[in-house]
Amino acid sequence: MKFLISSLIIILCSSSFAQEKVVKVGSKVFTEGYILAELVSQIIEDTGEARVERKFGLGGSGIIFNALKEDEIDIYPAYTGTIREAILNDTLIVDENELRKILLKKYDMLMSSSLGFNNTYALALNEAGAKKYKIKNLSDLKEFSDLKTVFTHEFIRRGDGLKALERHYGFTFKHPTAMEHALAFEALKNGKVDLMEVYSTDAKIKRYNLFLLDDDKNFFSQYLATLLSKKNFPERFPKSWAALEEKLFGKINEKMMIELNSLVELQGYSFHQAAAVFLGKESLQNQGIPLKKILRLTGEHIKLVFVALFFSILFGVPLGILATKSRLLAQFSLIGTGLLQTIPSLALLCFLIPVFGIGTQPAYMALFLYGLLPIVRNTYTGISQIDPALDESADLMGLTKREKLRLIQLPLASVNIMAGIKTSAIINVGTATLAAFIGAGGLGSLIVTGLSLNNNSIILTGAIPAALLASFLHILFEGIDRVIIPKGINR
Amino acid sequence: MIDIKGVSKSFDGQAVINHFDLTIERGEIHVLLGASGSGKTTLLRMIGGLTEPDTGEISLQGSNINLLEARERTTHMAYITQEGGLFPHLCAEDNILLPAKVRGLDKLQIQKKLSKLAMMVDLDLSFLEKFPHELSGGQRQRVSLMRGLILDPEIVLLDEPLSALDPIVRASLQRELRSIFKELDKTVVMVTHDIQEAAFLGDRITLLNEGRVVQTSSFKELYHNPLDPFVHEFLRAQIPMEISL
Repeated sequence: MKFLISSLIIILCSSSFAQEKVVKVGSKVFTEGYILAELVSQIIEDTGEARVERKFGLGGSGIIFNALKEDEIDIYPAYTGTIREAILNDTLIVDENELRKILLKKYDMLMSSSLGFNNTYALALNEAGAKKYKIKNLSDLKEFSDLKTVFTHEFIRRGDGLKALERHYGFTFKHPTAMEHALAFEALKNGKVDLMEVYSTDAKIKRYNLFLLDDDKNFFSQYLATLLSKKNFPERFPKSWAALEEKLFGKINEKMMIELNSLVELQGYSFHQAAAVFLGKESLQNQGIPLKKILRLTGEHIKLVFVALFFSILFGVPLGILATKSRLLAQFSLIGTGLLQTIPSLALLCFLIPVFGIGTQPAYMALFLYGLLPIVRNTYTGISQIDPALDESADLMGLTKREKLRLIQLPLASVNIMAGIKTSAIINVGTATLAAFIGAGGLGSLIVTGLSLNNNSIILTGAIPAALLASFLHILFEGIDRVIIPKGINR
Repeated sequence: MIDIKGVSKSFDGQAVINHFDLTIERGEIHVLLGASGSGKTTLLRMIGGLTEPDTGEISLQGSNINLLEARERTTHMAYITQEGGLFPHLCAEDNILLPAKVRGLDKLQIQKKLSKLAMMVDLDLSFLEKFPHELSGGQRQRVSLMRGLILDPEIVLLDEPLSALDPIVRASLQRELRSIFKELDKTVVMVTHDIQEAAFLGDRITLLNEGRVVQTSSFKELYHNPLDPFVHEFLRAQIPMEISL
């Protein structure tokens, strides 16, 4: 136990508290978002004005906008259309300038000028479909309303999404299905579906040879790429802002963006490398993920697991002891912690964001909550399974309740309690990979990146160390068992 | 020393001890003898304060046992169960010293006492560092006897302490028990169903049947002057069987 606590303290203290200027750059979970955020990060780093903290891979437009609002991040790449539709929910805003004024007035936020390209929605057919149906324009779809179509959840829901499109062109798709974007591409490629919505700068248009339908009645609105920050960003980081103006604003057109996207998605460049190529710092060659990065992420992962585990033990063991005091308390705590377990991890993480913001805090909280059940349950079982004769024997020695708990019950239940802690730790290694979705870092960020790139080798660079970590924890706890569990009952 | 007055106890409406009266004298070895279901163990548990009587009172030198603090009661009275109740996670020595440790007694004196007791119960000191599962049944009972005696209680209660042991170990422990209790001048109440054990160990024997006293006397009296046909019946039922073995 002492060893466990002291190693936790070391881990906790190792985070640095040095005073320096820090810019927190955010990005959503998709390739282009990552590349643009990486560009912003490198440009700022190159000025030497501040250290950059990369809060990449935040899920959903609402989450990242709120993160900026709450100063969890300082700047992130945003699209005018997304801000208008998904955040402000106001389709009447006519242009970029009006949008900029509203953001400033209502949220004290600064929207930069366009980075130079419009990444709007488009509907795409696969190669076979394009040949078979001979459709050129969106208005031609009227005659093909029974095409098999897939759209993202966001596109189906949003104000300027599917419903508005159908109204504008006067047709209704008979079989629209909701599907995650990367999976939808696979389905389209394999001919399982005929049509999906894409972004106009998506590298996969090139990769899968997709045919974009012409928006002949000008339905899709503009999605100009910009940077969104708080109003005072240029004052806080003047050099950085000047560098961004010089190197980024108006400097990327659609073709360049497709090129950067395909560097990452088709040619295996990291986001960092693709950004470096754009900034002329790196030549075109592929290097893979450096070991240093994997080690750093593993460190983050271990910290996530152990800090959460520490608190799960701190609360779980007393809760388990409390449960042995009465049937009612037992049912209450076991059902309570059991219910927590039934909430899907991602949903739990999302519920925690309004309270804890993004980053490591909600991740700690979620892992803490997930870690509770095995510890509470095993502590409860361990203590209630003690032979009643031994319990009575303790009373016959005249032991007080506290002495009985400390000297008899906890040592006798230690096999069970340690098994619960071990289960908790190993489950946490797995659950912690999901924490990357809310910017908590760890090995999950490689898995998230790999998923968004459809790149199995990146997924494995995250998944294999996570699996190794789980095995290592198993061995570590076998060792701790030998120290903590009294010899007389250790196997 | 111990006064049992008008004590009754029933479980689920079934009377187990019925208006029971008995006085146990200082320094005697008193055996509660009876068949299983006679209520002898329930009576011992009530003397030990583990079970509370429904009516009546058990007092220890004039004070009601159930009003004593648990710590106080267990200091004056040791209770040794059939299985010994040793804690599997503690070695023999830690098991024996536990009651003394929680009471913060002087370590040096306790250590002295430990070696003295080990000699008395004929337990080799090397067994003290072993865990209960590494000891034989007889060694375990010796250890739990030492644990019972470590606080030097005036009264020792024993619930069939030898019944789980094989006959040879049992016979030698019977002899030891008697000499230890006499040497230390303890008041002892012991429960058994074994007449030979009762006859050998008991200064006085109380024969119980269905929760009532049938007769309290020495074994000789019991054998030669039974007050009730049941006494004769009970003695006859066991003695020929033991001989036929």
